[in-house]
Amino acid sequence: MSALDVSAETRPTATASLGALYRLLLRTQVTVPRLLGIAALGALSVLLGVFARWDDDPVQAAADVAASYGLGIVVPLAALWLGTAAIGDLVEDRLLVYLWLKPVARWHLPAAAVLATVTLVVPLAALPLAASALAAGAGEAASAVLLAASLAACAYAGLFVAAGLWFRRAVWWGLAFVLLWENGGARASDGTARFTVTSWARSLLSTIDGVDVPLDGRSAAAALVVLPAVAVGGWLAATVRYRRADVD
Amino acid sequence: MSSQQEARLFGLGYRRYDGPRRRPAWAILTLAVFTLRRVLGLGRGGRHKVLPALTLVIAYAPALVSVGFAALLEDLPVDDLITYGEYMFFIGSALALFAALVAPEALCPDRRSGMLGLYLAGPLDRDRYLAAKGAAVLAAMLAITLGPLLFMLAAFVVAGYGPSAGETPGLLLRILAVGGTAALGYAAVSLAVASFTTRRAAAAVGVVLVLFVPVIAARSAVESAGAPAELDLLSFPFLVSELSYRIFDEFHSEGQPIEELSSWVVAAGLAAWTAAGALACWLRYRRIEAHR
Amino acid sequence: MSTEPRVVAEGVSKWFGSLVAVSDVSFDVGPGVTALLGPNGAGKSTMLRMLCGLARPSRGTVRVLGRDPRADVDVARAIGLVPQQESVFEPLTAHGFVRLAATLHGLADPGAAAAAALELVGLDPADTRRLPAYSKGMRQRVKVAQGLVHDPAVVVLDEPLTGLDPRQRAAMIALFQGFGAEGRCVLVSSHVLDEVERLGSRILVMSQGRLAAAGDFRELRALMDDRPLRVRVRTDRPRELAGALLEAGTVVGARLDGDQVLELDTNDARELARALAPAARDRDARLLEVLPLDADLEGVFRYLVQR
Repeated sequence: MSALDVSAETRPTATASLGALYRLLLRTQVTVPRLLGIAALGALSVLLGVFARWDDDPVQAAADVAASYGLGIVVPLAALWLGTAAIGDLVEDRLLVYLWLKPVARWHLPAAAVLATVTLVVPLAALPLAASALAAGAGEAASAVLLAASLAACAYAGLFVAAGLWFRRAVWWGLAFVLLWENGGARASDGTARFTVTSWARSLLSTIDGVDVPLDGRSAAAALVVLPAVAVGGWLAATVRYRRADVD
Repeated sequence: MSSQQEARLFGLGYRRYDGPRRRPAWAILTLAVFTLRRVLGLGRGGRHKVLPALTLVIAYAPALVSVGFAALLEDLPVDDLITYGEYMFFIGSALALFAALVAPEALCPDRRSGMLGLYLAGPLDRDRYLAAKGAAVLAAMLAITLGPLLFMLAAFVVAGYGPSAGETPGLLLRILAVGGTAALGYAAVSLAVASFTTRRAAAAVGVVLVLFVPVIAARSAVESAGAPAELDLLSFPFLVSELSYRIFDEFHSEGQPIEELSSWVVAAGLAAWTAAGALACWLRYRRIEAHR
Repeated sequence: MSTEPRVVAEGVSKWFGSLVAVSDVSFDVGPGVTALLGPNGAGKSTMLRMLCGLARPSRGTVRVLGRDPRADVDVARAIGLVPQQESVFEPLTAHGFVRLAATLHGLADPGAAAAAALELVGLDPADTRRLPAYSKGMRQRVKVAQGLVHDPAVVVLDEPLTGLDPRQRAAMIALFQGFGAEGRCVLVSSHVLDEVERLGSRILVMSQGRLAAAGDFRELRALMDDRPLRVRVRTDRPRELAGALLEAGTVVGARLDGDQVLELDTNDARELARALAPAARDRDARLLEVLPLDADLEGVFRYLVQR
């Protein structure tokens, strides 16, 4: 192949470039403090499940743990910590230049970032939540908890990867979003709740028999579409920003 | 005979400073003021002010709304206004966000950029450095813990809802006590977390997790597993708001298990959090290697 | 290979708010080695970033091989960039880092290409140490390897000699000279003027965001007719020789420095070269040394950026 040959045929295949970027981002996102921190949160959710076993209604208690602790704190903060760092750290460390100047479509890097974030958040945060339901003796709730937490992880991953590109202090904006909007705005009214990820994720918990979950006023079937759509929307927003970025 | 000045040549190279040198306390003050200006975005571009300003607005919002209602509506029942005691409860999230913003901004960049080594090469040793940083973070937190309460006091007095002249000193003392202890506690805890990482993002997430995760864990243990109410001493935001209620002789509108704890226990718990945070930060900085 | 310009900038400007970093710069760069020089803050790095498509010009156009590097990702296949920043991907080994670049460039055998590129810069592809364990000079060579692994037609190097010891610098200079001789377009930004001089004689000089000069630096020196060339001559009869040259109008100024050293200012170096030896013979003066003082790159550079 001549050095002057710059046709589209010289590009790597989408699989090759996505795979290479995905593996790179997994390695850069996984640091010992992040791994230990999120794993500790996951372990705590199992402990809370053990506490729930002693409650008068273990299934309800397990659902409360999943809703308030899992969907309210662990999943969004784990996705925030990893998602904003996926591309945000590369920008901060001035490493983006090594990925930008390549014959690779611009949507690949944001897609790899979202996928890498989900790959880490689901086993570290969502799986322990399901284990928490099992620890509470509420095995029938485990699959709904896993589904809700996993889809919430996807949605948050899309949002926070985009935030890492759009905002300089993305983590702080993400914290404000989680504490004030997801936990506060969701309670303000039904109208505001429909614009929160947590209420859509909680609607999946309401499919558990005999359980009353606050802020679950959405349709569970619609949540199966809305949450992935939020993830895709976040990925698109990240791609738009990445295409326009001035790379240092 | 004409008088003529001698011709002289002056060296333009390096010259030592031979003037008076101030005491190290000035170095502490200088660093504290510089840090305070940095964390609030003062002296920097507009975009550095957005986050601090937003948090301040969120923290002052309940006070502004309450004062606004008092000013616009005549004969408004006093019970409908926000009270001093419950104010810390209302702005708990804002306090956490502000602490997650200020402490990482004060500590992390110096280690990440290597500035810590330069600071310690001068009149600042590690203790003085931490004193300066602690003073800056404390001053910033006071703006959010004390400011809204003082604003409310002044506004209510002007609007005629305020305390009488005889009651004002006592109320002022309580406001200072609540604002001061809350600011001290949040500053100590957030500085301790920020001392463990060089990345502001990780420190910010860490501050929020340290503040809120024990709350949920303790609640779950107390309510589900029947654990003793003393476990609520792990809930730092609850301790702050509960102490605020106690100092102003007020009670929650809904019963909370933490109310079973005596005021001394609550105060001791908050003091323990503050001391533990300060100690953790100090020990961490004694071990950090400072280099470029 | 063709001698057509590979990189063309036309009326390029870049501003950040009210700060103008690059102002109306136009040039073209063809095969061979070209040095981009300028003091700190001249706009060199900003210009290089625009040439590689990393930043969008506020005005004007940049073309690499006739295409817009900002809009056309495929042009990246032909560009190899060695950036200035020292940071690298900490979890990766040298081979992993260069292999990543090879993979993203679509090379058929990225592992072999990475190994070859590392050997080219004198590093061991089998080294299992991660990049943070490397010295500054080794990391710099890894960066060069990742910029060359895909055999680019245009090589852009921003301060590529930083952190290298003299032997490594010589090896790197020989490498860049080789690329230039092969017909690649090599654009080097550097502050190390004496080594840039060894790379070649074509320069682009930027100062305060504007292009101050372009071309062979010796020809540029000859164009500076408002600035006489200064030559040092060591002779046993400086006064006699100076008088003869001044009388003939060959030089416009002469200064004595000690018993044997003469500094001459001339507007016509060729005329001085022709007249010096006969004048010395006529005055029975022995010529011990003849040395141009500001005809080198540093002299040209200093003059251009001080204007």
